[in-house]
Amino acid sequence: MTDVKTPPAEPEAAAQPPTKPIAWPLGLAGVVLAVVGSFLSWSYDDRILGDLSLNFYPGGLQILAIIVAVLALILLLAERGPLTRLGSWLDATLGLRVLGAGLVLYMALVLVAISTDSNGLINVNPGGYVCLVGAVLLAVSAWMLPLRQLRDMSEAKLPGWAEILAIAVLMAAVLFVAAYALGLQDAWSFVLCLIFIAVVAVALFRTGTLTWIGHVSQRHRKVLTLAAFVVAFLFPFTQNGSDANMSIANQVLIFGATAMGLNIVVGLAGLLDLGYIAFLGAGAYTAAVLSNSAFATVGWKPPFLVVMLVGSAVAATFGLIIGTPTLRVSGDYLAIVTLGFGEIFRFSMGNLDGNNGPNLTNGPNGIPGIPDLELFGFNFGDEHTVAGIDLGRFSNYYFLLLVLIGFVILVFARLNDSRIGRGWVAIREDEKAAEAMGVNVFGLKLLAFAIGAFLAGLAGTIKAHQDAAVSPDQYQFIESAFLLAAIVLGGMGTIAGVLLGATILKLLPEKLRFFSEYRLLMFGLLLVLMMRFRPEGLVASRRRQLEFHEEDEQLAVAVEEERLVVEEAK
Amino acid sequence: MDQFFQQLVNGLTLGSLYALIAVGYTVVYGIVQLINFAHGEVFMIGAFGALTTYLLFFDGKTSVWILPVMIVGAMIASVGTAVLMERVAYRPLRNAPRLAPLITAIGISVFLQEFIRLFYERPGWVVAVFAGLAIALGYFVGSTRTDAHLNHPVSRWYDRAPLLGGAGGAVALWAVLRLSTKDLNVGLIAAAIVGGAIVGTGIGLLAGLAARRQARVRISLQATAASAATAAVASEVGWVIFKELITKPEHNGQPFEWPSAKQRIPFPQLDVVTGKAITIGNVTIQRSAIFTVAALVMCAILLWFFINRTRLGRGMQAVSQDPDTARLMGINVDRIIVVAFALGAVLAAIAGVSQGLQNNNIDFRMGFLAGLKAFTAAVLGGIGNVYGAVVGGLVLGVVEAMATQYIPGQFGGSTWKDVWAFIILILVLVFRPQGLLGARVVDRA
Amino acid sequence: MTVTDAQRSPARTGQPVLEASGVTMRFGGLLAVNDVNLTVREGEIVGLIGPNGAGKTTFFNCLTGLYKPTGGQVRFAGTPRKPKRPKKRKKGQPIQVEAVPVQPLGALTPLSPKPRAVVRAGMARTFQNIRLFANMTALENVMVGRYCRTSAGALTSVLHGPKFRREEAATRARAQELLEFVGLGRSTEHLARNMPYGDQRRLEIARALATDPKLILLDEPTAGMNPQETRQASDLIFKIRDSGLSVVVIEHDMRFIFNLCDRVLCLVRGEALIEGTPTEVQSDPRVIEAYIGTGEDDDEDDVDVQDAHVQDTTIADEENRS
Repeated sequence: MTDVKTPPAEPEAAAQPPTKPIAWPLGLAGVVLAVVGSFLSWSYDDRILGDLSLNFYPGGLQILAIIVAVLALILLLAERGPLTRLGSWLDATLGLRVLGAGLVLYMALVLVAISTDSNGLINVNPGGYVCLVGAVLLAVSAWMLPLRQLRDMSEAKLPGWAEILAIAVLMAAVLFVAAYALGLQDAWSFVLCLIFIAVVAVALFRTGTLTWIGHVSQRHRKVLTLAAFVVAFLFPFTQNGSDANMSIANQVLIFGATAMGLNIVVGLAGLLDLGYIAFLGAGAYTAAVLSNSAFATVGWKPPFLVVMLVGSAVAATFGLIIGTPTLRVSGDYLAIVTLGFGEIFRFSMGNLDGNNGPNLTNGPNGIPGIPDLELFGFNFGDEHTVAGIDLGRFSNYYFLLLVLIGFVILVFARLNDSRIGRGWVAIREDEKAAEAMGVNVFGLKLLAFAIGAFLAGLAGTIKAHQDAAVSPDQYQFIESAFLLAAIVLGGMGTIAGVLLGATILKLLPEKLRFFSEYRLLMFGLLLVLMMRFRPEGLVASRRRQLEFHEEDEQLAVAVEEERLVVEEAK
Repeated sequence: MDQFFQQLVNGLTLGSLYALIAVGYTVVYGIVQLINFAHGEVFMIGAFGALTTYLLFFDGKTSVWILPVMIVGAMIASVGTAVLMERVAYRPLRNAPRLAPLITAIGISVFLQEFIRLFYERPGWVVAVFAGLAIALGYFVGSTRTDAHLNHPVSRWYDRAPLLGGAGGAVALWAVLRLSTKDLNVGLIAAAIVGGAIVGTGIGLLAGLAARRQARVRISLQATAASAATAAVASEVGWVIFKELITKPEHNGQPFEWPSAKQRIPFPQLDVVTGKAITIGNVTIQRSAIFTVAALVMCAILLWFFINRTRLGRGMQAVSQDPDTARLMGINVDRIIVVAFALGAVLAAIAGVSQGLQNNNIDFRMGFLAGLKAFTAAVLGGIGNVYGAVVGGLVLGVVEAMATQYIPGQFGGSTWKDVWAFIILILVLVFRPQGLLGARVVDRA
Repeated sequence: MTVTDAQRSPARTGQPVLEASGVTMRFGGLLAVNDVNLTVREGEIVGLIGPNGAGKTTFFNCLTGLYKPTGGQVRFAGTPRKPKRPKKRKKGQPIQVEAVPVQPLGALTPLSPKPRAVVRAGMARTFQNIRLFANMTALENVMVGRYCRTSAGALTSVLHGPKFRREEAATRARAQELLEFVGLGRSTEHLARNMPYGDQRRLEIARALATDPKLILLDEPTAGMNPQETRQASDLIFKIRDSGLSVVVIEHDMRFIFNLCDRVLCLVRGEALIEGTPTEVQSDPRVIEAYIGTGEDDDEDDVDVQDAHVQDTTIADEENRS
């Protein structure tokens, strides 16, 4: 049943209230105040929020505010001033509204943070208030500015080198912000940094910049991928020799690689696997059992490359064993069976300790003391100094995990764009019709399952060495739920989305420790809300959007037009 | 041989529990093709509901006549949860691809577990629930006082604005008042009610004015006032209940402490249904076991009557077969679906009480494993088939007990008992996917 | 035989492609199809008519393996096991559209009731209520049809090996060709769900043709079409036949059937009433009775539906005459 929607109102300049001439100067005043205020000190106490107490020496958070103000200035100039040509492409007014409102929120929270962390509002220096006033002026002025008709963003083209440069700049910005964000120690700073990122992202989205970036990245896909990898590669070098963040980064990478493997099963083939963590565990336990640990239970100690293959093969075999009976029958059962399998796995790993079964896994204590892995004579536990920066153990594993995640992404992307990928989409659309057209439904489902299991096993073998121990309670059902949530939150069937989702879900609990009590509660709520309001995830694959919004005809027409434009541009 | 009978008894007991929970899974799956992952949590909440009823009214006593009241309390809790789940989370996803409700169910399951774990000892959230109920009640009473049609398909919130404003305003005043003083003297209560009614009516009128341009219907002053007054009364009543009952003082003047749900909570042991076990020959039968099996038998009989001899039951059969045609025949499909959820919840509540009586304690995690096994039982018996769920549950229980006893070597014994259920599930899916009694699900492909 | 080789003249060898004998389908107490025989020869267009509920679609489902018939046998002149290896392409030569190499019709062998085996043997179908992959484009829909004739596996897809590249290019080219064949050459990037109804029907035919069938079963291809679209459909089916395929069509539009088909089989209540040339069937009094009825109430619903088509026929005939 389609809702009868009223036709969208034409953008009539005549119907708009006349532009108040005070709007633009007001906005400019707001920007100036915000910048000035950020150069002044915000807080009397220098222990709060990373030292905001010095005049003319802005701390990190003040710099963020300055950045927002500068962006607002650019948009103002695009609205009226030297940059009006830019203003014909970008929706400056909407962007300004977001920036204004966001900066108000940011400053309000800064004031709240300062007063809660110290003795009250008395500790806030005038600089903070000046900046807040500037933000309010900016927001108010933005709401008074008119909306205008814009040109079609798909026609915006810069010379090739300029676009590549834009990508490089964007990637570098992402790198620095990420490094900065990870380095923040206290929770308030981290929250404020997140708000900054969110405000800038939404502003970019509203102005249409993100759409332009999307078009550019489609045109220069290889450059984008390369840039992303270079940036990721450079990350350890920004840590100044500290290994603390690298450990978190490694956890994120392992989680992301596993989620990407699950993305093949859930996102591409549409199979709901709730015991996926068991495949990761199978790989990890295989590697542990075959390692040089004192607790290892099997006598064979092959080189790591062989261990990787054996671990993946074991996981893939489990996948085949589980998949073969279950994939023939309705997909609903698959969820429960995989859940059961996950539980059996955890249970078995905890109980094969000689008393209740052959001693394969050393029981509930797991297998600790796994030595670092050695690949081609290179021991991953050694420290190195490259270009003057110390790289510790975790950094070594980081590079290996980068290679792993690159591999998983490669498999994902190439399978998606092939006969097999088309078969999977057909199965999702209409299984019976696909079967009637000769698609090997059962075989493709089993393939998805086995490949997913294989990749998870591969990740597991590295994880065992990275963690230096395996134990059964790491592989509980809730971990599978988190993996699934990463895909759902980020965007089923997309690469960037799943990586984003994995990063968010692994990173936030680490950084926002004061929420740790309510972590799972919010997680459950998040799942419910996501499926209700945005089931396709943050970064939506167009196809999934269509599938989840079956009755939305406007969406179908819009997607088709996008596609046609992209095809013509090729 | 005695061992055999003992294990048979154990198995039937266990199986009855599974059967009671399995019916909920199977009925919901038969009607909306959804595996309600959160049904295990409904079972758990039923047990906690029974415990709450006991702690509220009968703390310390052990008479067996408390049991029916506890069961009623359990049912209120579980049915409330199930119906809320359906309304808020599953109904909007009725037409979404299957993945969406499944993931939602997982989310709900996690949320409910954590909610009970964190908040059982801190009943403050009950106030918020009462506030919500007050608004709902106010709105409802107001809507009966006005002639305007508010449930018309094109009604939007503008139409309901005055009523919602009225009820909301009253509750807002109450909240502000109660945040400042927690006093219970009668004068204050009366003032709160009157004040709430007046303020609420005022806000309702303002809301009506604000929405006037877009609203389709006019709501009379009386209706607004009625909704505000009702909300004010309801919220005060809720507050009194909260203060008097839920955070009541103990005998010795100590405030009552709700047990923390972060570890196992002891479940009340009542007279006839727990205590010394009955021994027949060499077979020991726990009293709670007798209760469980008897409960299953009663429920099975009542279920049969319900499905075959009542209008609602026939409606359920019709909707499982073909919801569109059922709708054309004038059956309120939405209501039938709610009934299906409620039915499952009722049986799960009884199962929760049984589990508490048997194990002497309850735990927020108990729904997870029990739910999985119950679903296995439902599939074993034939998904969608209510009698299949009962049979499947019993069979699963007996098999589990027998496997524990008779499987030799290292893989026997109680350590591995949970594994057998899943092995059975896989075997059933391989060799007889329609289950023992045949599935009753219409192929929607 | 590939459908797009329009140069090929129809080889009317008269060899049977499909032989269904004694096909019976029973659902519990309901006998939907009762002992129906049908033989289709190479290059024939056979029409399958009958009132609603006569069992025509059920018969199709029995032929294509969607249902397992309770009785009877379906034999099909399938492709022998090992197809000839395609000739190695010399460097510099443009990529040939590589279709399945031409196989002579084998002997009739029993067909197992599995949809995939049926498609691989060479029998394809369309559906009464269009079952396209709604959120895929037209081109992607047809490319899915090529699945059973290609074999690039996971390894070569991940490595982008030569087989993968070769097959992808061939699949894409073939799909494009087929879309042009059915007249949808300009709609390749349109989403299937956005296409007009008539185009969707043609897309379904293109998708079925992508499986390189020898026999194609069309289930009510002109339902909901106006006379002009019906004529276009008729032309398309002739084009398909002229490329060497055999066709079986279920339809209610009498004029369409009688202009199109070489032979017609009429089913009533699951049983074959009569089989013969269009003229024979058209003038058989039992057929007329089955469609128009003798004025008694049991055939009234048939009358309402069939009447319209019969009226169409008679009015059109009058127009022709005038």
